[in-house]
Amino acid sequence: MGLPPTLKWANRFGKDPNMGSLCRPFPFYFRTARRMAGWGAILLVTLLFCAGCVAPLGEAEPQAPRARAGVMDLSAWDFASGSVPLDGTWAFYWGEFIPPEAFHSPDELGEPLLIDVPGSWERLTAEGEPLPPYGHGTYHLRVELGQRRGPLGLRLRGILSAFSLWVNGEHMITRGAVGTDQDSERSVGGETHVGLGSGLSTLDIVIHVSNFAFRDGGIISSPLLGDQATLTHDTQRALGIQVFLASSLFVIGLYHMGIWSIRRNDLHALFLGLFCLLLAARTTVMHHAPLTLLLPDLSLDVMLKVEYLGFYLGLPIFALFLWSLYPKEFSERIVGAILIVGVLFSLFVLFTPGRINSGVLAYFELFAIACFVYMTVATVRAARRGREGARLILLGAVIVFVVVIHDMLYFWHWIPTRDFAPVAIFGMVLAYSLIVSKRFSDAYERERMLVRQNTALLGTVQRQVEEIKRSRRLIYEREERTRSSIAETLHGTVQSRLLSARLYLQSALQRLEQAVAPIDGSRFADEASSMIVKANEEIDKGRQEVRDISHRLHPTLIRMGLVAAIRGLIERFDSHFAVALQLGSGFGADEQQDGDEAIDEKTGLLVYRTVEEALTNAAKHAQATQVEVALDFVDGKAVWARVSDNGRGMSVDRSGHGVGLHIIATRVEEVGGEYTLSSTPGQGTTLEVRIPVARFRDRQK
Amino acid sequence: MLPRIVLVDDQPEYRAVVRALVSEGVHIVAEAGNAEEAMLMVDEHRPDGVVMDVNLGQVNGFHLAKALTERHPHLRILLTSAFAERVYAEYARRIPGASFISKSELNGRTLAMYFKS
Repeated sequence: MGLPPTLKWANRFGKDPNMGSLCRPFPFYFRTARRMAGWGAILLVTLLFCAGCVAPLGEAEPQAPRARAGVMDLSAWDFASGSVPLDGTWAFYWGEFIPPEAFHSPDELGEPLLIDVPGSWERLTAEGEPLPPYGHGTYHLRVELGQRRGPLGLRLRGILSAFSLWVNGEHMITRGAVGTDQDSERSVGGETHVGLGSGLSTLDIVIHVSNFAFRDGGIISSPLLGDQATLTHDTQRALGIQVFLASSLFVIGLYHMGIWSIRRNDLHALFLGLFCLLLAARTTVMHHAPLTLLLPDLSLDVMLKVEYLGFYLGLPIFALFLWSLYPKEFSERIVGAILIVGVLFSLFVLFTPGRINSGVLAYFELFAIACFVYMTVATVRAARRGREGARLILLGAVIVFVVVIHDMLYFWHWIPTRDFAPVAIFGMVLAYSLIVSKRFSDAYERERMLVRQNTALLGTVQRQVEEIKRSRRLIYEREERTRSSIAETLHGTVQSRLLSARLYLQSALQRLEQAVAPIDGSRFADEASSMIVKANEEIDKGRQEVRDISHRLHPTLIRMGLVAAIRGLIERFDSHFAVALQLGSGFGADEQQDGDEAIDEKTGLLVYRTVEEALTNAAKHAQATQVEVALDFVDGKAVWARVSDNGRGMSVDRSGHGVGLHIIATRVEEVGGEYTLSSTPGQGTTLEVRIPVARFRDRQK
Repeated sequence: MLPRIVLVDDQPEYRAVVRALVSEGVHIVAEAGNAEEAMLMVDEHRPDGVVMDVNLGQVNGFHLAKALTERHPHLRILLTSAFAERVYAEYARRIPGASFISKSELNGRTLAMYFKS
């Protein structure tokens, strides 16, 4: 018993060949630690820290003397080496509260029963019958100390369910109210410290105990006698650890509840949060019961309810937690069944007094063992399938399983070691928090990846859009070039040949007239003349058509300058409506020299196409009678043009435009210009553009 | 004596037609297919006038006409084009000693009348 329990367990895990099946988690653990070095290290450090905290709390010195038949001889005991549990056989008087004075003359008292402390009085038999759990009695122990100086203290807990204490005839403390039946008793839980003073050589301890609140009655934990300072120090440290555990669990629980409140889909965060909060609540009423520091008169019943609820609800919530992590490995039906059983037990605890409901704990513990087996099997399956964190879960589950089994044995007084489930459970919760945090951060990382991918995609799309714009511009330019070259041929070569033909014919006509003048009235000559005239007319018509086509393809006049081209354009619409041209001062007095020189042909052509499209719309669709074209060259940087008609108006919605205007709008915006179309039904349409000339385009963008 | 003129047009076939048709009215002393040639020919032959197209490939004929009259103030210039755009006549009027006529109206008599007046 020299080693603290935690380390002892660890040794047995490692060495005892009979524990083979339990050894398996350790390779798991170390593999996990290697793979998730950070997590493993955190977990290991925490467990070692907790183990270290617990280690100095070894309460029992193995060589301490034991009480025999109500007498304990501690005269050889040095309290500097540790506190002494007042274990052994005490004198016990069933069914009576014997006043402490009565023990001055022990002969007048009847023969006491001898009772094992710690232990429930149910184990005793009186007159052949086992004692019932509910009842009352008096404990008596005489402790021989020899000559002692140091102030001594007594720590009492697990005296169920109410008691009064006298030492050497002096009333030291009463916890709750002892009674002879359920109504006269008021039960309390928690732990009590009593200072006994110094200079004592004998302790005559009398304890009245009654129990009508719990399934067990009597002193079921060892009363501890020791140097008061040491006892206080140890207890404070133990309390400190427990408060630390409870607060940590509480904060971890709150943290996960917080995560869940933001990410409602992360059910595992909800379940882990609830589990932690339940454990935190349970930790405040267990062992040293730190809650009683705040609420000293808390009834045993309430404390039992908190403790049991922590267990009955904790198990199903834990099952839900595992199910939410590994939905494919955990059966919804079984987890649902666990939940229903847990809730039923919880309701039973809530609505019945402790002395009744504490009796069903054993059944739930059996159920819990079955659940642990199921959860272990399912988690092993998850681990085999390589699910994230499953091995860590498994490790925690196995440790907690072992610890819980151990604690059950402890609580049922089958083995005498203290329980250390809280520390193990805390370690497990921490490990599970890491798993949940990992999932959380993975989700966050996935989102960040998505954002990055989206950004990349957006970049690709933008590049493609740029590419499309570029090819559209190239197509537009190629088309303009083609048109211009066809127009050039039509206007130059074809027109020139037709013209030559016409000139020859004209000349032939003159010659014919000169030649035939003396021969009056020649019918053939007249006919020839009129044929030549007709041929000329045909040629003129052809030339006109060629000119129109060539103009539509490409305004040859643009070479004379934008204004010249616009004037030529306006001329073509003479037959449709009156067009007024207003030239801004930007073009100067000589529109040839000042304005057009600075306007590159591409810009000029775009302005020309804009005006042409507006005029075409006004002629074809708007049925306008008057059109005004205004043109200016602004600051030598951009050409501004506005075409307004008095027609019937049109839809301003770009999708409703004709293809022509749509192309113009796109093109204008591509070169960094502005395009505005406004129209009022029945009152005409105004198209306004502002197009930067080539050398200012890049700067405008 | 017939007026001496330089004929400027970027279409050689057309120049041949004109040469054939106007010989009775004017004496074509030289031909040019572009603006540089035109400047050279005018400098070399010192003609009375120039008959030229407003379109000379990529060159604006009005600019050439302006440059020629600035260099030779007494030179008379007849600008021509296959079609009589209104704007041509207008632009031609702004150049001293210059006029515009549609190519379809070109013949020896017209040219003789214009350059003799």
